[in-house]
Amino acid sequence: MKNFEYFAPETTEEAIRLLDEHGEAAKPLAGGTDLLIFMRDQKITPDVIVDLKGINALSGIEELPDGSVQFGSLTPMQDLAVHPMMRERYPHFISSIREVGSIQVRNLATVGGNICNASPAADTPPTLLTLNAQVRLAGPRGERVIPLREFFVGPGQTALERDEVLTHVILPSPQPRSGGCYIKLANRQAMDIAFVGVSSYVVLDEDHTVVDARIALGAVAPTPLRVDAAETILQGQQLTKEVLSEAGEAAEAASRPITDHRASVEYRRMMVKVLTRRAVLRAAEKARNGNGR
Amino acid sequence: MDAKRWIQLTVNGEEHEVYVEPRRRLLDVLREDLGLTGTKEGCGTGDCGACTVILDGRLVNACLVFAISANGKSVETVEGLATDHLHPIQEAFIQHGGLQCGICTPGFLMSAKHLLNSNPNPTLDEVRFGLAGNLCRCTGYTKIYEAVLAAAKNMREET
Amino acid sequence: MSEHWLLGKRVPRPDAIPKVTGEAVYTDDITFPGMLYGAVVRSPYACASIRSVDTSRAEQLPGVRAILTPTNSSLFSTEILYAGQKVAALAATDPHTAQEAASLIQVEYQRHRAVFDPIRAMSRDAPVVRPSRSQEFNNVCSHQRKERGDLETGFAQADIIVENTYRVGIAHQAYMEPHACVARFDVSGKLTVWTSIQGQFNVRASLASMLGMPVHDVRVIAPEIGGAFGGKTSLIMEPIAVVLAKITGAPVKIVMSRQEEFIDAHPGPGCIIHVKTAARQDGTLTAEWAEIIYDTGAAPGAPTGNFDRTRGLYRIPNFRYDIYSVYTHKLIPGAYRAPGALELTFAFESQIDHLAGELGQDPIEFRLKNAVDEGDLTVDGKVYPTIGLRESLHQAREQIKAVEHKPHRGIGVACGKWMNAIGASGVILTLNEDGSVNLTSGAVDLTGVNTVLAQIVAEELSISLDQIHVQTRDTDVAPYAALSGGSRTTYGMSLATQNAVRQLKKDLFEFASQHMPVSPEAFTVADGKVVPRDGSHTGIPIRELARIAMYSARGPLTVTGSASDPSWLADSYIFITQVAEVEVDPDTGEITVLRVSSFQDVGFALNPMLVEGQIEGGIVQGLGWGYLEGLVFDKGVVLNENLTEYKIPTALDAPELVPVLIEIPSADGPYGIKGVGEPSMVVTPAVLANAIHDATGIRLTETPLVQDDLSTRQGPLGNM
Repeated sequence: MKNFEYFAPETTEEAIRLLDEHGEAAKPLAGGTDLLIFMRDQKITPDVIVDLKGINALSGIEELPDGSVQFGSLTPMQDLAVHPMMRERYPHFISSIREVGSIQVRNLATVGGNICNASPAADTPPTLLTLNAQVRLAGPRGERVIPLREFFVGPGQTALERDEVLTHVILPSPQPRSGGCYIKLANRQAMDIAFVGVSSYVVLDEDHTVVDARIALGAVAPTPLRVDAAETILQGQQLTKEVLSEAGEAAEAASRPITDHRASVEYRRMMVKVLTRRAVLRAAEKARNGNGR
Repeated sequence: MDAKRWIQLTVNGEEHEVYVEPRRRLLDVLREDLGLTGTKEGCGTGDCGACTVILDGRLVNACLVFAISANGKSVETVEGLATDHLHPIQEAFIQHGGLQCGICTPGFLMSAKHLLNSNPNPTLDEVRFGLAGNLCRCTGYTKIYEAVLAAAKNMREET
Repeated sequence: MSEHWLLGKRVPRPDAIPKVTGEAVYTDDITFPGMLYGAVVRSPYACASIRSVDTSRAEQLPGVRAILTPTNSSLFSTEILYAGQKVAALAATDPHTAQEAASLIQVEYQRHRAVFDPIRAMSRDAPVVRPSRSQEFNNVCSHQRKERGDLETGFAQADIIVENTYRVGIAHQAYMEPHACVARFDVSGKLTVWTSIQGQFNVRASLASMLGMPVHDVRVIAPEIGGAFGGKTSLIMEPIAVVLAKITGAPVKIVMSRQEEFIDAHPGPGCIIHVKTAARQDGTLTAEWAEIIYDTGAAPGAPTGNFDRTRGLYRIPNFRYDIYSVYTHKLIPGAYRAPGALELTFAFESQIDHLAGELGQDPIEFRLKNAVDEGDLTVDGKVYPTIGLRESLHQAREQIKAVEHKPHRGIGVACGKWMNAIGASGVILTLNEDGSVNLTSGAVDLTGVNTVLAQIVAEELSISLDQIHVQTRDTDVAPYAALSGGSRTTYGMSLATQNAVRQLKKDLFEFASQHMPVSPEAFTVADGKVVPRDGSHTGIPIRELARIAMYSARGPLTVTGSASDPSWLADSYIFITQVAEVEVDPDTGEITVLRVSSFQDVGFALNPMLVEGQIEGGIVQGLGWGYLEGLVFDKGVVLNENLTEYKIPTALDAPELVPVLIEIPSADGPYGIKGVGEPSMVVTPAVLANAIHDATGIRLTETPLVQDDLSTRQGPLGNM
């Protein structure tokens, strides 16, 4: 690994200032579980590292007045995974966190880092997308909040400017009769990367008609993506076999998987269809049972 | 651009001051600067858990932490497990054949300790989940589970 | 087998104590003042010639002390035959600088056409990796043929013939400790090397030869080893470390990164097997033909010599097997736990299962119908003594009866065979003046052998286990031992120890007869004392005799013991049957292994806890090779060169394991033991394939057996 200059600012403003000052030569450091490895392999060779972990303002979970929940982007994943309020309100998001790496990795890794690294196969983006998550970005030009849907631009590429920091993730308050599900298809039961990931979040009304359905795919496109076409099919419907099948096909049509050493394109396409149906069914079950609050 | 810094680490209760380049990992400093070679490097990418330590109460891979990031923090390693006698988890691993070559063992011991701290009466599935971040190639895991469950039982009976 | 009080008991390993405290020293734990760190530059291309090497930028990096390239060192060639091949090396004052410097060395390559698939490599117009030993095919490294009877007649007698091609991928042993070595010359020019290796004496001989030094000036020390499984039998980094140490005058440490392990160590070889098996309607096998092609990468390395060792489970009157190893532009394989056997077992046991299915016969009954037994011929024409194949099948059958059948679940059966080696083994046994015993061995303790040797000495002398101190020492001190592996370590070293301790008893009895009115032949040992069998004397504690001897004209009681066999292999036939229960998701093809039971003939389990550990570990490795692991290449470049992408089983993947020990004593093994270190892995991919077939009706013929193939090849299995 090449040597670098290390800064550990205590405020977000200071971090932004440092990133601005050093430009291309600087990289922000969150949990380090991706960046340290890239640096070790000399794929990324920053001259300056701005360690964000010492910024208290970027860590922590709070409920906002409107009932939504905001957590700091530098909150270790494991803290979210064991937080009673997070587990109660956003169980499928928490289940997606538990799929990341191992306990050791989750004690270091952050959702902010997971989002900004923008791997197409990352585990937290699909569930966050189905929750209509927003991200708060701060930079020298001020602060902005954008939907996570607009954040992913390409593999490893995001809407984050070089001198911006993703400070918080905001999750809307969960709705009554809602439920979510994340299904990750991988070879191993632990420490694996999805070759297909599907998340679904549904809101039902009293007679179990779909009021709102959200479907997001991971690992089958250059970015994690919501599938509007599939969601439209489910809108206002009872979840019959036919409706589910149609939604699955729409999701498959929207996916753009590739063949790589993890899986073939044919398998991935087929699995998008299968897992979309499963994820929607399971999410609806949770909505009916009240697990999703 | 060496920019070496003095950092403070409390390791197994003892305070240390080390002079480190920013690029050095906590794993490097433990093994090379402090001579605590019980923590092992199996992969360097956080995939095997051989370097597992407890950092400010959190179970982490020491290969993924820059030492300079750990400035002011406390670290527990395998060398701190035994007092004037072996820790019950260490005893259980010995008695139940929970190790063969032993290179993954320090990491497993730390993960097991961490698990039993928060969950003194785990089910088999909870043990497996708690150890899922540690790879073993020799044992096939079965005797590791037995050892951890036995240790849990012994520790409950002691208290 | 007479009653033992310590042999056959579950005794914890004494070496477990320093391992759980973190005090055990592995090679990378060793440091010296002024020690330098080595790093290696490797070719990114599979087939190329080096045009130039520019080290100027690396030389300028502060801390770089020496650089070796093809220009100044015969360790490196300008001809590249596989991606990952070493091209240059350097030593620097710290590992980060060494790594950085390696990235600054610029190499210009001229690329050539390459070939990666062994079948392709055999064709006459394929690029030549190395000169072929065959007139008919290119790139043939070796060829053997085994025959019996007449193949045409055998096929003509058959009512059914099944023909398939099987492919086994390349699997890395993935020991948790990467290769590491430290080399240091002392002022007098004597070399000491610490290395993570299965055999110290091989390393000593090779290095002495390489340097033109006498063997006694080279000392090789094997610290604790973090797993090997056959992957640490040959030199990898030692020559480089040694040369760098010589040039710089400083100790040099080289540790392979995990990535380097995946691109340039010696994994288990890939293999393509075409096989045709024939049987009569009543299930008797009549003939079998196979063409077996091991991929040996860029140099000889694939272990092709173990066919007889692992085959010969069934009475097949007519057969012909052609075994090839073929060069390709890929890394050079080596031994992985029963070298070459898993590949063969996967193919042949899938075949047997397929045949049984075609005939509508139960897989166990079909195997029992054809299984060899005492008096039958081995592949190489010897005669089997009492063996455990039928017994293991019977026990498997009993177990299967108790399994509940559920939807989407399958049960598979497969059998395997192995034979352990003996290898030269020596020990030195010393009786200390307090009655304790030191046992010095030169065999690296891979599998807990030192624990067993202590048990043997304690039992034979009837003293307590904590009185025995076994240590593996280095080549300066210890008697010669062949490398640890081949399931030979406990077998060979136990023989040597048994010989030594019996000699020690003889010497003790001789000495004791000078202190008691009893002749030496009339003595025995009991409760730590030498006593006459007829009780005519109360006896003298061994400790007392040792003390007297030490300070008398007799001197300390020290003996050596050895064992060897010119044929390397013991006539020790190890048979296994495994049963696997799996569940397959009908829509995704996801495979969940529920339980694997293993019925293995271990001869006699000197320490059942250690034996179970070997079996359990072997099964999980077999599962890995079976459905999770395999090096993936693109133009000869390994793509999955880390432990995320190369997936070895985690704690959550390991199923319930049931190791059942069958004990049919070996004729010549000490206490009737048979080797246990290797065989358990051999059967597992086959039993998995058979279980998956039982669950889905789909026969997967390529490892890793992946859900991808289950779902896409045959279409969705379920009803959604």
